[in-house]
Amino acid sequence: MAARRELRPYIYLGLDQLAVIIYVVVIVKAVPTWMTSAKIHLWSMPIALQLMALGMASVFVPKLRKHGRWLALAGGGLILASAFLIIVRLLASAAFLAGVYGAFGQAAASGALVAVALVIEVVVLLPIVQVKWLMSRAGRRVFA
Amino acid sequence: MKRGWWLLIVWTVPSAILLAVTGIVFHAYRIPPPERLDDGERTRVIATLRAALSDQDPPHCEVHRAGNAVAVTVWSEGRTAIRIDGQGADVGAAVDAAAAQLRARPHIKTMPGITDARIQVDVIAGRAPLGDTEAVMNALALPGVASLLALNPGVEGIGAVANDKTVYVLPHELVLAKVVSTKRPSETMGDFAMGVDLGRIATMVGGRLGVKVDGKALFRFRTDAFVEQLAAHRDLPPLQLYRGIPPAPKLSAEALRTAAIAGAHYLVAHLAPNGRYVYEHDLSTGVKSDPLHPGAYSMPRHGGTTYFLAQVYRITKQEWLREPIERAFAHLVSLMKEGNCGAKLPDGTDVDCVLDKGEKDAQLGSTALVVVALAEYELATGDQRYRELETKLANWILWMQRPDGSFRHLYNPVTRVADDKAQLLYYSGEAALALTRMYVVTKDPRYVQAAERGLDWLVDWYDFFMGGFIFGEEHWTCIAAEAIYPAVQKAKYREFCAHYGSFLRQQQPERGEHPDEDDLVGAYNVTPFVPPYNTPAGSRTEAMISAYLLGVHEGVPDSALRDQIQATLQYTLGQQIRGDNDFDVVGDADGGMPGSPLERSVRIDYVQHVCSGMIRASEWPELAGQPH
Repeated sequence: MAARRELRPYIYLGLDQLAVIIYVVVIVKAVPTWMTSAKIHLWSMPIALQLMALGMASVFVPKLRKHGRWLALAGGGLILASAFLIIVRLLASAAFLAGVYGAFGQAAASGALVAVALVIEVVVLLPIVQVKWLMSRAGRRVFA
Repeated sequence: MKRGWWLLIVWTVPSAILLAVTGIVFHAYRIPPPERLDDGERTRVIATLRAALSDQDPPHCEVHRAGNAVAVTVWSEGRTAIRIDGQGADVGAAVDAAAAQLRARPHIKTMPGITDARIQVDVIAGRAPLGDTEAVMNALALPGVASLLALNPGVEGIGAVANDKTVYVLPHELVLAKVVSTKRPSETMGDFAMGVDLGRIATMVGGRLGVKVDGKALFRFRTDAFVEQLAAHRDLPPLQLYRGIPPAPKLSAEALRTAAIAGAHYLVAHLAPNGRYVYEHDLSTGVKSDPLHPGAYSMPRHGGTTYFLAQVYRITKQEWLREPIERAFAHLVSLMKEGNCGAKLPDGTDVDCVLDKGEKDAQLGSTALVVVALAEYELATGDQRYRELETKLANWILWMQRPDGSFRHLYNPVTRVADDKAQLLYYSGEAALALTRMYVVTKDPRYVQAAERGLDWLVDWYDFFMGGFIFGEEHWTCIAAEAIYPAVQKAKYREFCAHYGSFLRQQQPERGEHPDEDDLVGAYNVTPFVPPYNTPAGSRTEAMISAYLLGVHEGVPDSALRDQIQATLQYTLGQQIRGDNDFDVVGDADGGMPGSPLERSVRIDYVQHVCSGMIRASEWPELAGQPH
């Protein structure tokens, strides 16, 4: 019986590329910022995700697959680190405001929690699932 | 390493890092509230300084509390006449040093009104860095957090050290210099100014030091501030200040009535001979808008303010109010003659509307609030001299109403065409109230039917899913919903206003909820970082009184609404300018209501909304904090 064809690299590639396009549009159109550190931080996400997409695209070129997997893992690691840094920045800002104003307030606390939840849902979910798969035996086999 | 260890690291290390960041940042920037000097200690501090100011040998200040710096401000006629800092081993020694400096000032011998001058003392009680000047925090915080929200406005000052000299720019000095809530997060948000202007603050500090100040030299500090009593009450301990404001009068019907009458006094004193109000009075400079020349003015606010005066007259019957009210109406009559808005409808009905000088479009809100004011005057006096005028204006409002109950808001008197697209805040509610009040004075059913249609449209507008979660500014709607009772009795009006009240209560912090900001309890604010304005506190209280009364009428008084109203009234009593807190006010503004604790200017509508709530609540003992 012929081995079942592994579809996941193609699905991840499509999702990665779609997410890159969405990130770029959102960053350019919806969240312009004047702060260089914020710009670098925001742009790190589509760039890291593009690295993941390129890594996944290596599935089409057998001799590049091994390197492609590492590239995708590096991109995934970068985007997870970037997301972690966003959460650190949110908490540092909240702690700063609580220190200066003596309280953070329910509205602001709810807003910060929603922001963290959105970061996890929108930014972290795709790379974390993808990295988990790339680290699994199935992932290694595809990119062997 | 075993898989179990990796799992443990993955699950615990990120959380530990996040916890550590939170704790370190909080403690690095927190200045705990100071332990305040007690009555006796404050009295001793002021005694030493008052003796020095009176050019007498000051007694040693026997206040041995921790603290090595005090800042002394001598207020005269609302302005800072003298400002000195004293330093020493403890608070008493610092006060002695300040007293010696004070006595050495030559102009205390020639300063006029030295007895009436009031001494304010700020004991410097703790300091912390500025987030914006620290590279790690500046890079780590979200954009604008460490700069625009760098300090607690009105509570914290900014100091700097250079060449062994320390200067303190006090919290109230930052407020008066208008640098604590004037920076815009973005140039595209012209009307949204909330941030601290650290650039201008650095310039202020540098000016005092005589050198250009590096941002890293700046620090935040908190103070225990207090001010000497008025000359007639110097036997009492000096008044503690928080955010520049002394303790509020205790809530009572009498206090509310006194405050509302004081507000009316302010407005009458700010009514020019031509019947136009001094629209705005800057408390820190004494600069007032000129009612004799064109400039910023609002006809809806002219109408609303005159309505409030008529309301106070109806309730108190104080005769000094009547002439100014009639003067304000006379101004409207002359404007209407010039405005050429009057017309005859095809069915022969006479209509007219209010148009200010230079205005091209007549605004529904202007005419509506003038009708409200005229009707209130008629109710208060029984005098029907304005009935014909009221009727023409009310006819125009009826003509501006659409069949579905909604209103058109703008009208061009030249083309005789109403704008069917423009929708402006407040106007529909104001129009509904105008028609309601017309019904009350005339008993003409046309008005109550139209008002009911208008109210139904306003309330039913929220009949969609998200409408259950959010509200716009509906204070006029609820005032009209109560004013129409008992001619129209609909449970949905009471339910709508009760829900509106519940929505607003979520913006009203309780005591202890924001421990550094208990002075703002009762105000409506969305977070501790945005200073609350006093006008919404007033207008929403007017609406909440109506919401509460709707419950009373239907036999289901809502105690949550009552508590909400009391909290705001207590807050606004403290905000009003009066003898004991007018030491930093230039010009006679007693009875006035500043924009906020941080925006030190009075506009006519600030007084109108807040004091209208006060005078109405003063008639209901349970709203004024007294047993029912």
